[in-house]
Amino acid sequence: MSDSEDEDRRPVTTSSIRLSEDEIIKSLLSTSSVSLKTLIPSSSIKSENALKVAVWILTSHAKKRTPIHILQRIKWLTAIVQYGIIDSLNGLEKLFNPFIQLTFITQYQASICHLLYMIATPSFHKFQVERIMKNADIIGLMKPLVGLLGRMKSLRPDLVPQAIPYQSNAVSFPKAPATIRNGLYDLAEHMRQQHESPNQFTFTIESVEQRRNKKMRMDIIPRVQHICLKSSFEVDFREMVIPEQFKTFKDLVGKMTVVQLPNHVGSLLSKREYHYVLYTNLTPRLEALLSQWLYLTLYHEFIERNQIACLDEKKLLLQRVIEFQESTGRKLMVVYDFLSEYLRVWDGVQYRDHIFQLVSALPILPYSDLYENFLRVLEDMFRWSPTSFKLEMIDSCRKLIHNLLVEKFGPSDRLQELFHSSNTTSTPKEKSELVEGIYIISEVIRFTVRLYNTALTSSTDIAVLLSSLNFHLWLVEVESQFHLPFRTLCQPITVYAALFSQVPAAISLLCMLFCKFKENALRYLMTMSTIPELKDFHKASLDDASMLNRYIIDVSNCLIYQKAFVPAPDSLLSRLPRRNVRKLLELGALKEAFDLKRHPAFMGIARQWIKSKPNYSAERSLNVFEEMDADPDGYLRFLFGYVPAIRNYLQEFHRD
Amino acid sequence: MSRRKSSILLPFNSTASKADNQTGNVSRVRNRKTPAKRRRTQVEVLEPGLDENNLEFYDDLKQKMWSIYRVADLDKFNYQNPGTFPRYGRILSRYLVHSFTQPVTLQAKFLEKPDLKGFESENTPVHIKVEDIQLNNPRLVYEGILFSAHDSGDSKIEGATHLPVLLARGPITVRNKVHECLTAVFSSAIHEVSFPPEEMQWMIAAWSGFLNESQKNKEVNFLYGLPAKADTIQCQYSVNFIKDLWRCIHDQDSLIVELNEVKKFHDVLVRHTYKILGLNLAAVPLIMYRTPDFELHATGKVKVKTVEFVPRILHFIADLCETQNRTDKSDS
Repeated sequence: MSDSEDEDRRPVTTSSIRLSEDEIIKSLLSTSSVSLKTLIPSSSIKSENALKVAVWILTSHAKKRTPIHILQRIKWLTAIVQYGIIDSLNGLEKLFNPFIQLTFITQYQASICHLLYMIATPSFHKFQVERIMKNADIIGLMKPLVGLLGRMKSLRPDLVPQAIPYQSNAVSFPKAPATIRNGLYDLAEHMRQQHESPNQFTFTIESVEQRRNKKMRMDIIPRVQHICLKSSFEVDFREMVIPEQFKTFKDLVGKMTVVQLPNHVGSLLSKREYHYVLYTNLTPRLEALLSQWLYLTLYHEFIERNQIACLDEKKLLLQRVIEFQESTGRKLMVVYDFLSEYLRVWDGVQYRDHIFQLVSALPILPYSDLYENFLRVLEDMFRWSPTSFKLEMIDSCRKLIHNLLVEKFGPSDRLQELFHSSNTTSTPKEKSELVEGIYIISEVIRFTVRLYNTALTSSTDIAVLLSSLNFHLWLVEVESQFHLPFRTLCQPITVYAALFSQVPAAISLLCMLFCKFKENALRYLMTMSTIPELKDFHKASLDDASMLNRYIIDVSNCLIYQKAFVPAPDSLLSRLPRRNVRKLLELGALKEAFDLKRHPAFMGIARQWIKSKPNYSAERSLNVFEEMDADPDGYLRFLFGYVPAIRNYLQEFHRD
Repeated sequence: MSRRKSSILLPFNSTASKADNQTGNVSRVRNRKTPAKRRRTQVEVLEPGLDENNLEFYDDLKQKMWSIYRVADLDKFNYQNPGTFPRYGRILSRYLVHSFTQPVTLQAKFLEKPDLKGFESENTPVHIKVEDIQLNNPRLVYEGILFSAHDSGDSKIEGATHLPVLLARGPITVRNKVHECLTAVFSSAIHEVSFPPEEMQWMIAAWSGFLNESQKNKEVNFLYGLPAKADTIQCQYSVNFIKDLWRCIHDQDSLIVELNEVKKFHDVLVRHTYKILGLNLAAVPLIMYRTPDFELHATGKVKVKTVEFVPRILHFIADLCETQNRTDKSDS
């Protein structure tokens, strides 16, 4: 299909009233001249109507009516088919033979050849080819004829002579009439967008073919091409089902197992729809071929070649690989081979998004492999990276944890019984796999927590702290959802950084975390009885859980009892690292123990409370502490309304 | 807070086992430690057994500047039937004619060459020629030779042909298009190979003992590039000097060349130039090495002038391509 009309497109701003389909067809079937610009339909033309127009053309030609009128109808029909404003080509395909006679008329030749080009199917006969060739002998091998014959040769190489070249991208037909070109293009776009709405599961398979020039480098992912290696006489081209002939995904689905694969196995990575074709046909042999090509290409493009060249194509290749893995759930191990080598030379900046996506989709491997090949490199980079990189990396680790859980255990109902002590149905091999899986996941969790610790000690960015709190909240939930034999509590750095931050959200999240941990984790850990093989995880987790008491004591001392910084052997002050103590100096005098009412994070809320009181006047000077002391209960009620998590915390841990 | 260590005695060796696969995923999960960089410590220097059958083939390779490419396995490339090569020739000709924007009349031919003695390969070499047949005398525009030195062994892909080395010559545009066609038709990947500095050093040292003087040329040339400048430094030594140096370092009776011998050889040359000229040639990249017998370019080009060097060089290149062609099909 020629794309030569592309240059001329501009959005049409016509406000002409569109005729209805019936009116359009009626005017076309009349014997008078028509004005094409009025014949732009407002929606897809029915195939029987198009057939009526086609039959009109043939009968008018037989009756020797005015050629100009016939040409108008031919041009209209060709344009409609070209822009896809027709719901089906079935009827028109049957008229392939009668239209051949019109190619002999010089006036009609270009348009008719274009129309035949578009409606050709593999089921034509040798005598039809000979008739068209006769045309070529008489008039000469004009461009439209070459285009048509090339197309026919691509469909049936056994019938068309050797001298005719195969269909190539260089074929071009005359443009559609200028008066209807823009209108039809806009209509086609509109129809395409409608089909792309998320409600419908069919979507068109776009074929974006760019004319290549010397400056454009070949795409890394090869084109989908079918070059027959067997003799034409050994192949029945009528039976061949090729992916490109399907316009919608819905049509492709039915034929996925019988579709003829293109020559290059890697070309099926070029479109999402073809990923499914590749997946359904992925035999060990094909997988080996794909792996070999993919590995060599990735290695050559990302490690050997100049790093600045072809950035977009490289991103596209990675994107397609990621999409393939996501949509089919099939991991290509060769990609991870490459990734482990690439990470060693990676600068941490190029293709960051794609690298992180690949990391979050790592397959389940022994933890030493995961760490040595992938995670260690990222950890080394972590220390000197900016905060945004740190947060992205941690996020990809979080996704990795989730993906590993789903991959190992899946959404399964028997998870609880799997870990339960009375489980007698698993074989020793299954149990050892279970232990290995739990071990890997717990190590990745510990790795992520370690990253958080590193980030919090090196950065004062509040985003890191909030991310850490959210992560632990998420972790408790996920661990309980999957009935894992352990629960992870946050490390001291998170707790104390939250406690002394100036952001109300941090304290609120901290209180939420403690409440959630007690509810989801502590009770479960106390009553859980796991299979003996998982006892160690459980025990380690109980040791962790005992930290909760220590945290509660410190937090309550800080927020409620005003004892946080009272010098005592086991007070908060003595347990904090020096660096954090220095940070606390920024908050105010260390000797003063502050309580919830005095916490710097809530000063903003306190001022709001004062302003909301009925006897407030703007001229009065705002002395926050005086007002608080005057009405402590009122203030606390307001505060709890604002930050309900603290109220819940108090209810949970300070019922007295 | 002390780091919690998992005290579980894992009932398996977690660093060496292959985890068995997840359901539905056919590919193996391999255990890969951080792979060590490929380092040769020894090379066995072959004595070329010049077979009569191969002489003609080697003669063809002589006196031409070849670029080296690495080729993945060619799918459905078979030469069992007599009709396949002519068909491949037609397919390649057609592809080339379409891919050029200006009209060209190119004809491609695939020819099977006789089996190379001394190369244990199950696949015989394949010679590809593309000629411009517009004029009365056909003009050769591309020549390529596909061959392999080793059997693919366990890692053979069913239905695919293992010919990992391609020597090609011709204008770059034609070469690119021919390779594009081969990759598209046979589901392969063809990438240019360059010689890493270590490999250049091996080749220079290991073959020093076999150099011969010719009538016109009695010298050996090292060409070094200056970073960020278009200039180069050229060092010339006489062939006898190089041979004598190598004889001092390496025992002529031994067929095995060790890494330390190679290093010593190059160190001596570097120190020599440093003492005499004050130039530290170890700090600049070696671009080209020329002797009366052969010429090597670091960008992956080679030209052989004497027949006896052809099998040596072919073996080395094939080794290089095979190990660079790291496919994951073998068990680790």
